[in-house]
Amino acid sequence: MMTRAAYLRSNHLSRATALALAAAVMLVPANLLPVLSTNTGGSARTDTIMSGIINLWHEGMWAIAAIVFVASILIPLLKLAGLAWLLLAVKRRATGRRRGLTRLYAGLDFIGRWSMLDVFLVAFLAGAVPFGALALIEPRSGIVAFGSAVVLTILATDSFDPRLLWAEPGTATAAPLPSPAPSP
Amino acid sequence: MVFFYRAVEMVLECALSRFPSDTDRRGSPSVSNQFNSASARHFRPRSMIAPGPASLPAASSHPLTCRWCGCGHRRVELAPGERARCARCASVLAQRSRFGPSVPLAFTLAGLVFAIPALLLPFVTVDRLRQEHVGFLFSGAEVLWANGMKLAAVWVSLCGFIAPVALLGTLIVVIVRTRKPGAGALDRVALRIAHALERWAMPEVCVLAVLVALTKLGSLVNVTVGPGMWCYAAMAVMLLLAWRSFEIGSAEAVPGATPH
Repeated sequence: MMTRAAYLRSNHLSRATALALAAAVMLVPANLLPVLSTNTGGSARTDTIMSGIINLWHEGMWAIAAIVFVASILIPLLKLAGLAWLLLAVKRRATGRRRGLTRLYAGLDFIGRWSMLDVFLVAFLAGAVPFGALALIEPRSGIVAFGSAVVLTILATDSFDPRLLWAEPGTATAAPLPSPAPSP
Repeated sequence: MVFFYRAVEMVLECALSRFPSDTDRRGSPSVSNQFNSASARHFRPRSMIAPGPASLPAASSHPLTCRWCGCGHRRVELAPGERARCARCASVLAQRSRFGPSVPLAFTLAGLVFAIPALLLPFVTVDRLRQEHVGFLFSGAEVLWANGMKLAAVWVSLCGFIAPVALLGTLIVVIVRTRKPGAGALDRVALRIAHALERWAMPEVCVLAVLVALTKLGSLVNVTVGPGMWCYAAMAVMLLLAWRSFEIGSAEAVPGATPH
């Protein structure tokens, strides 16, 4: 018979792993497809996330470039790496550095939202300067992929339960299943 | 703008004068600053997952469960401005606002008031070659929708506006209900909804994105920030302040009628 804790462990772990993997897959088209095309009086260009950042850097707006780089490249990668670490720690039932791992999870939970920055950025640019008379800025399909990747990382962090890090093999896991497990 | 300042002032005044702060009501806060970590450790971690709202007894008898590690704690009364940390994982378990529960209520109401002009007033004005275009809060989502990126459009409007406003509304319910003794299942549901919404309400990210976009646009065209943008930023700040002064589990840890 499966204990309640074991049931929760397998359930949460597989869900979080699946979502993290989906996010990792989604990041590939998100970074390869163009997210925005701009047309400034004659010179038209289509940017992916990375080329947009490089362009900003070359135009001298390196603070802005750094913000966008951190939000849309660094944070998703950090989140996936951190999640992988946490999942492995739970799989291995590592009992050391639990406080550190819990802190890591809290950190991942906090930084996750900031990677939505690029989606808001494209939406705002497209709304402020619409396609039509001015014909300046147009959103491209990469932003949908990027948005989905961000949502998937947030869902993955959400479905990982940090309480799994603290499950004692001797005490808590021995409890029998009292009722159908509530899903949070 | 002046009108809105007045309105917010009035709301703040009403909220502060109608409800006396907690310290007034209760006299000097009675018990311990930190919760007693020795006795908290005495509690074995109860279960891996906190029981769902339906199966709960009255809020007062229910021990406080750390949302990060699942460790159960005895309730103590916190003095204003104090925080309780989990004995096991040291994350913040509960926090009592320095000013009593009226202040989060005031921030929440102010946030809701700011949401209306943020939606209705022009967000940004762009002019290029004597052609003027006024953008509103939702025009970005509209353009995305019109270009066939419906998912992104839904996402932007959800995280940028709908979830923050819904969160503010839920917070009002939570704050108003926790004043009354005898918190029931409904309050726990409201609290859960608030926590779920908080994950998706990210107006502060949207404000940063707008700032980044304005710097980028500034080199291409003439941009003027409209009053809608200021109201939106004010709403974001109010939401942050309300959530910070309310904080994790404070509704549970600062019960109106629970001497441990």
